[in-house]
Order: sequence, then C-alpha cells, then structure tokens
Amino acid sequence: MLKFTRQVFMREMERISRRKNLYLLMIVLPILLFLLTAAIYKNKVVADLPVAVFDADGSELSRTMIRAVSESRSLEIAAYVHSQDEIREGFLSGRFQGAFYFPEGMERGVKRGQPANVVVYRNHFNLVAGNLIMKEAVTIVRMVSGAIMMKKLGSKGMGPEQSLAMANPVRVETQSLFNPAYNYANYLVPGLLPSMLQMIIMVVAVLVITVERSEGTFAALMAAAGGRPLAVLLGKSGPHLLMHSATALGLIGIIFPLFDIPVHGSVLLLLGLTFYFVAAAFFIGFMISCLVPDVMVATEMAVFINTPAFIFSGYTFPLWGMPKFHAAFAQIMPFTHFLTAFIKVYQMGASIDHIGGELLRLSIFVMVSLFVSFVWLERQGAKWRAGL
Amino acid sequence: MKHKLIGWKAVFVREVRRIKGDFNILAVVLLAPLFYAFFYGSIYGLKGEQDVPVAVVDMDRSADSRQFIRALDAHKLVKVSEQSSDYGQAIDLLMEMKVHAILLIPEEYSESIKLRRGAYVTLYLNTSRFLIANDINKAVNEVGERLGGNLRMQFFQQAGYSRDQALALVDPLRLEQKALFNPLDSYGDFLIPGLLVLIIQQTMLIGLSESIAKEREKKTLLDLFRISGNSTWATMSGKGYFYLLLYMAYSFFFFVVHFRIFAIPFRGSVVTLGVVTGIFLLSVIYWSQFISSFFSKKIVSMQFFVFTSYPVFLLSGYSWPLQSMPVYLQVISNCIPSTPYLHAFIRITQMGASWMHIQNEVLHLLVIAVLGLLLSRVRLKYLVRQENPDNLTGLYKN
Repeated sequence: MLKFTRQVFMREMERISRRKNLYLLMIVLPILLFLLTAAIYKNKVVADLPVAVFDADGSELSRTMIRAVSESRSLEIAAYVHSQDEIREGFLSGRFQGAFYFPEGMERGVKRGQPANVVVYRNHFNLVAGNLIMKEAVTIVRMVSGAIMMKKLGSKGMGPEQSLAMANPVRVETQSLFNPAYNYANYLVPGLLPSMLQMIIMVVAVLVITVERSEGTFAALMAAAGGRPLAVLLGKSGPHLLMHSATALGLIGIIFPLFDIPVHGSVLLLLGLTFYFVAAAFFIGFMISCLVPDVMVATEMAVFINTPAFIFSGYTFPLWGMPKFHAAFAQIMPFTHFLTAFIKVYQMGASIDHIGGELLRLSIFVMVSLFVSFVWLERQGAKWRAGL
Repeated sequence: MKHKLIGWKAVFVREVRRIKGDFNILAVVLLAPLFYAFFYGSIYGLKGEQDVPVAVVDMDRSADSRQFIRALDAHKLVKVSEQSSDYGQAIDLLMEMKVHAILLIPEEYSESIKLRRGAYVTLYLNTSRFLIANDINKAVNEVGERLGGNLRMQFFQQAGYSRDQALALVDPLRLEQKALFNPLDSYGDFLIPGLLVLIIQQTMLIGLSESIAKEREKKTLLDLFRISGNSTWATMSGKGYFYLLLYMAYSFFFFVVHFRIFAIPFRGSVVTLGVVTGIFLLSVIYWSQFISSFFSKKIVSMQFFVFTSYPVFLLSGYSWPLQSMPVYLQVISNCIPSTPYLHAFIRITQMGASWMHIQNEVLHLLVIAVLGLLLSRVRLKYLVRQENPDNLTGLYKN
C-alpha cells in the first residue's frame, strides 16, 4: 500500500513540475494576489476625504467647527463654497465626498436659546466614506453642543461637574473589542485572502483526476496505484495538500506580519484550522474532479462555487440580513464555517472550545468528499483490475 | 470599405456560430450574467440587517435599567437575546458569536440618574465585523441619546422653562443630514449597482478571452484573419462587436429592469448612460483581446481571468476610496476600465449627473479604449505573422 501511494505521490510531483500552468497557479498566483489585495488596505484607515465647507453664518461658532473639521484626520477641506448649488455641482462632478453647511443665524439662534442646525451632506455611494463623514460630523457637533450646554448650565449657577453630567445624563462608553481602531487591513485582508486561497485550491483540485481522464492517462495512474483507491487518493492529494499548506503558512507567517495584521489567538490553532480548511477545499475539488469528466465544466463548477464564497460568508453582510434561501446556501459553503472560526481565533483570540461547531461542519465537507471520491475510485479500481 | 464590411460580417457570423457550438463560452456569456445578477442581487434584497443579537448584563436591576433594556430591544437594529447578571457567561456567548455585543449596566446606574451625577452604561462591542458593530453602536447610542434627552427635558422643565424653551436647551446644536440626491442608505442599494457592473465586465472579459485563446489553441487565427478579408479592423471588431451588442442588451436590462426589481432608483439619462456604457464595453473588449492573446489555451485564460474579479472590484475605489490606496495601486486602478466607469455610472444613475459632470471619466475611458485598440491591433498583426507559415508579405491590408 505504502509503495503504491509513494509511486502515485512521486508521479504527481513530476506532473506538477512539468506543467508550468499548474505551478504558476499554485505558487506565483497566490503570492501576487495576496500582496496586491493586502496592499490595497495598506493605509489601514481612510484619511483626507475631500469635503466642502459652506459657512453662511460667518460666526465664531462656525469658525470653531470649521477648525474641528480641518483638524480631523479623516477629512480634508477641499473647497470653501458659497452656495448649496456649488455643493451640488461638487458632488455631481465627484470633487466632494461630503459637505458641511453652517446656515446663517446659527450662532444667533444658539445664543437666543433657539434650536440651530448644522447640515451635513455625505456621499452615500461609498459606504466607508459616507459613514466616516457622518461619524466625524456627529463627534464635532456633539462636542460643540455639549460645550454650549455646559456654558448655559454654568450661567445658571451649576458647577462644571454637574453641568457635564446634565449635558450627558446617560453616557454610552463603547469598548471596541478586537479591532478598536477600525483598521480595514485587519478587518478585510484576513477575510479576502483565504477566499482567494480556496478558489486557487479548488480550481487546481477539480483538474486532478479530470485531466488524467481527458488526457487518457487514467489507466497509467491506476497502474501506479495498483488499482488501490486509497493509494490514488493519498498519493494524488499529498503533493497538492503540501503545496497549499505551504501557501497557507506563507499567508499567516509572512503576509500577516508584513502588513501588520495581528493574530490574537493561538498561532498554532490558527494554522491547524487553516490546514484543515485547505484539506476541506481540496477534497471538495477532488470529488468534483472524480465526478465531472470535462476539464472546462469542472473548472466552471469550481468558479461557480468559489466566486460568491466571500459574499455568502456573512463577513461583510451578515447571514441574518439575507433572504432565507441565500442564508441556507451560505451554509453549504465550507468557507462560511471556516471564516467564522478564523475570525474567532485570529481576531478574537478564541480557543478551540469556541470553534467546535465550525470544525464539526468543516468535517462534514471533508468526510462527504472523501467518501464520494473513495467510492468512485473504488469502482474505477475494480474496472481497472477486471481489465487486467 | 465594402470589402471591410463583408469581412466584418463574416467574422461576426463566425463568432456567433462558434459561441453556439461552445457550451463553456455560452455558459459564461449567456447564463452567468443573468444568473449572477439575480442571485447576487437578491442577497441584498432585504437591504439591511435587523435584530442583531445583543446580551445585556444588568447589575442594577432597577426600573431605569429595565427602561433602557426595553428601549434597546424595541430598536429595529437590535434584539436583546440574552439577559444575565454574569459577565463571564456573556463573554462566552460573544466568543461563540451567539451575541455580537454586551451591554453592561452598572449597579449605580439608577442612583446616578436620580442624583443627577451622570449615569453610564458600557457597550462591549465585537468590532471584528464592521457593519454589525456599527449598527449595534448606532442603536445603543440612539437609545442613550433619547433617554438622556428625556432626562434633560425633565430637568429644564422642573427648572421652570417652557416645553419649547426646554426643547431648544436639550440640544442647542443639532446635526441635520440632508439628502441632495435622495441618497441610497442601505447596504443593498450601495452594493448591487457595483456588482452588476462587475458582472458585466468580468463575464465579458472571461467569455471573449476564452474565445480568443481558443483561436490560438486550435490555430485558427490565420483562418479568422483570412475570413475577415485580411483586415485587422474587421477581425477585431467582427469578433468583438457581438459581445458589444450582447452586453449592451444586458446593461440595458440590468439598469432598467434589474434596478426596478430591486427598487434601486435611476435618476440619470438613459442616453448618457448608454453612450458611456458603450465606450466602457469597447475598452473591455479591446483589452480582453489584447491580454487574452497571450494565452494559448482556453482553460488557462479562464483560470487566469477568474482571479481578476476580486482585485478589479477592490481596486475600483467603489468600496475603499481610491485616495486611500498607495499611489502605485491608484495608477493600476486607473488602467482598468471599470474604475472610471463605476465613478461615472454611480453619478449618472444615482445623482442624475450630465455629460458636463462626467467629462473626465469619459475622456479617461476613451484613452483606455484607444490604447487597448492600438495594442490589440499590433498584437493581432504579430500573431497572424507568427501563425502564417509562408510569412506572406502583403497580407495586411489594414
């Protein structure tokens, strides 16, 4: 058995080394994709979003707020405008992502005890930019509004502490766990890169048996394996699993540190989980490779499964926000379960106890794929033996 | 000219026949765009999330703390799924992602309110996924603001102010969010238009690339060139314009029918969008022809191009602002047709931008298209010369 497995293993190694396309896919492509994707978020947070300021009030209060806008790291005052039409034109031509409008009489209203408004326009077509502008605007207005209220309460004879308490009687102290700086590199890169890894693994895996059949070398493979299905399964999988595991190792051991992405949990657990995911993705591809004889159709199936994997993982848009059918579809994607466990370990520092459910679900994919592949290979082995 | 048109027509008809006989290309250019557009689009059919599970650890157990919990549970974004007095138990739920935040109401909460010394609650937020974290944070802060506002109202009214005066004192300065263009405010409305553009670009890119690579694989490029009457223009446009027509039809269908089905507003001019889309599709066609000409096997071209989908979308600046990327990536991004197109597309469809507002993007797309045209033309001539065993001189008429 060991001899046959070794024979198939060596044969597969030799086949990989002969095919430029295969090692480009397995070695060069992941490096390029990982580096490119991680580099997009290299700056980690959004800075200097261009905003316009329309100061129709021209008061001390509006100037205080403009100073606060200009001091914000996230915003950059791209233009001082003099009408709402100019703001509109700036949005239409894409020059501004947001705008602050301080209406005439704002300060006077505040002094007279009348409600006054600051108007913020934001770009809703880029959620990251739009939310950030809104967040900054809320912070600035709350800060200034609180200061005004404290001053008013102070003038009624209230001490500073009491004034502060009354300005904000129910405070929400937010403790952001796990990614407190809202760092986009730490958030998106560890989700995106494994989804690309899965795609690479499957696009290669679906061809492992299919190519043998389409090129007429399947009989030679069976001969090398002595007709033993387990020898084919282990010998064929071995080189691929080793190479993809090396890529996974590079992802966590090189790409993460290179782009300052911290791992809060056990690195060993994270590696173990990723290797298991590599196996799950590979064996699903292997199963497809056994069942689909056409190279192009098998590749298209791999693409169909993998293209939506990231979107369906619930990482950027939660599963409970999806219609029931889509949420159910997400459950039959191994990536969904892997990514949940992956976030728990790398971002939240979870232990193996917290990822038991995900490991169990990943195991179902591994077991089903192995079983189907084995049964198919056993039948092929029987046919091959009968033909001897 | 007539000679060229005959060549063009012959190549066009040949391409239609080839696609008809090739299930793989057929699946990519006919089935995939429609399937993906509806399948992906419907993910965001509910537009946003609701009832995100949150745990509350109520150490105060007072009427005031219960009021906070009730108000939070009533918020549409959040659902108080667990109430406990054990913080450790709540943390376990958080680590298992059964809840996504813990709200801790301290023992002295009610007393602080009564003594007017400022009460606080602590929100432990799982910020590993931003959309969920932002929604919970928004909900809890809104509840805190509202309850705080009520307490300030009570205080000012007890101090002898009228309701109107108290109302102005509660919030001396308010933030008003104004919609210039009835803006989109759901995740679905934001993402679906971008995904549709990506589906158009990527399926066309993959389908056309497979077709070009197949010509090289089957060594039929010279044959194709001869059918075209030895015209590079007729070869390129005859092959590409089938895709142009098909994808113009898809674009029209997506931006009119699809937008309506998913209740996404369309505020611009269909003509303006049609012209910009035409230039966009041409630029994708020429670049597909150029890049895919380096692949000599259909499967390899597919294997390569499927991996471009995520990077192309991420680089477009649609989700992560372009100015926040390193400069060299901004340069790469600006070479991809979907980058200027998406910027123009969103402003036309959602803001009603006119020609005047999208001049830069149109010019940008034209430069990409012309560059693609020139490069693919040079490349085609080179390949035909390579495939021509007799190295015939005078083969090129254009």
